[in-house]
Amino acid sequence: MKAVFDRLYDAYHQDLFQFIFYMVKDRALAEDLVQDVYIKVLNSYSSFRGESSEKTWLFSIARHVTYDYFRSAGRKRKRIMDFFDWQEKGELIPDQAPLPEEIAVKSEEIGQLYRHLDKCTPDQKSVLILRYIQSFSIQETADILNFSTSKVKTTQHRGLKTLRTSMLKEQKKGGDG
Amino acid sequence: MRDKEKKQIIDTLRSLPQVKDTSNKDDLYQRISLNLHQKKRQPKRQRKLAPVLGTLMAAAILLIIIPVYIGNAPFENSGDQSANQAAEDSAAEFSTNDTAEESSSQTMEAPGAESKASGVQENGESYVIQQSDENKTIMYGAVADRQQQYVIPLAFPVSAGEDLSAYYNQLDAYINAEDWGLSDYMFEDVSFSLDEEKERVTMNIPDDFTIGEGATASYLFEQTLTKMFTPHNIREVAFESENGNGVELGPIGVIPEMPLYENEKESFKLHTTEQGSRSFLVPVPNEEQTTIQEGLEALKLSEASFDVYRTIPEGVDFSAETEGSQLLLHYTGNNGVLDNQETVTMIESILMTAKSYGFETVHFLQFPLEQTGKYNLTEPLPVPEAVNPIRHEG
Repeated sequence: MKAVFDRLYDAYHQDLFQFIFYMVKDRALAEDLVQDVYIKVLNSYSSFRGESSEKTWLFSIARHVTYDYFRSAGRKRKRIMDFFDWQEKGELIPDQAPLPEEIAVKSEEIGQLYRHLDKCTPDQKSVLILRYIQSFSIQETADILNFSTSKVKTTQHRGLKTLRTSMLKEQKKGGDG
Repeated sequence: MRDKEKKQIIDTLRSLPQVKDTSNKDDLYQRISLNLHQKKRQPKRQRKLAPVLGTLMAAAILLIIIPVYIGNAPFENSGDQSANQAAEDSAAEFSTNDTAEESSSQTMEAPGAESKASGVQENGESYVIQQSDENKTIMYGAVADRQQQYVIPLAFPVSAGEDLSAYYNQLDAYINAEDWGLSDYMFEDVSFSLDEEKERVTMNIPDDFTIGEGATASYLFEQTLTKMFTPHNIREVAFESENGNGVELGPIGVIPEMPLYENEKESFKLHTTEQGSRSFLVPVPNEEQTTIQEGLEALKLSEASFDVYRTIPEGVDFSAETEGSQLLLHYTGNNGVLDNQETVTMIESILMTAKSYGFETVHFLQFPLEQTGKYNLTEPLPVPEAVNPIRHEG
């Protein structure tokens, strides 16, 4: 099992970690979730029959793990504040949480966009991260998310629009202030 | 959105920095290896049959009632070979295969029950219970798939007025997860006490109970409870431990109770495995803002890596229109549709998907067939009461 882990880790780990990190925007949580991904992958590796590429399979599991976390966190928040709806508000991590070091050293525009990623739904966020941060093709993104390619394109368009609307709203608020 | 604005956002997304995991690889493997095959499959223990009389009666009632619910599906078993094979091989039994304890299975062989129960098999495969009458009720179970990506709901028809808690406390004996190619039932050693008036179920949990490690284990735990109890309008689960010190629920922590919320919108696809003896409809969650049209589109996509398969075949398309609580589905496909198991499975997966989107009836319009299986497609079809009936193999 160690040999399988070594091979998968060497080939995909940093990409997997980065995908999860940008989804949840919390380094410690990303470390926990990537660990969950490997547990699921290694526990079911013998049943992987190669219907998809190994890479697609790994990222599909990462996506499932991340979504399960979101849903669970959403329900947990709902328990605390019964009116909270993570899919509408999407703010799992508060907007004003300190930026991670990698982002903080970048331009204001990048920092702003990073914060506004939380305004996207998990589907939109997944598509934007896979397409533009991980540089996956539309087909690869579709395979990972189990979307049709047309749904990837629609979700991508909606995600970009959500980002723009949210950023414009904040700029306007800043201007008014 | 103007192209220039779009390009600017895309460029900024592409400028986001690479983020590296700086933690140690060997440490990571150490942590992972502690959880690999943590839950070894153990020979299934037969729960003690208490109260014995109630259990014997319940078992007999189950067998007599099931055909009334699901025995009216006269259609041909052709089409999807894997599903048919799964149906033929179905080991969905109301007793375990445990040879050490035969008392439970013996109770299932009540006089006159065997022939009725075996008749169910002859009628082909239905993935739903359409509607029960007022004298019947349904007990719900749920298990995760082998890869623990999805939670599959199960339905056990029982006589109304019986003590549901007694049924629930025997549930592990009815779930043959290993044969079905699924993960173990999570609550094998847990006992339940339902209070439908107070919309509450109390779980008595043994001290060694664990929901597993990892940030997502709690989701499977909650989903399993949700699918088992929200159909009974249960809104809260209270936890009790044997030692009275509270229950450690892994990532959830120690909590005295937990509310249950209705499930989100879902697309019901076909779950079938090579090694499993039967197949199921598995709900795949969708985002809350998705439309029914999007929910139906998802039925055209398989996730073979997770043993999940499309239910709407190539060339079959629908255009959705809403009329109050009725979903109108105009057939717009290019292909003809055959009266076979594949079509029945498609209809049932659409009905269940429509139900999760809040519809009460579905009317198929311009559909190439007037009848398939038990479904008269010229009339609006009510959404089913439950999915994945567990039937006795005669």
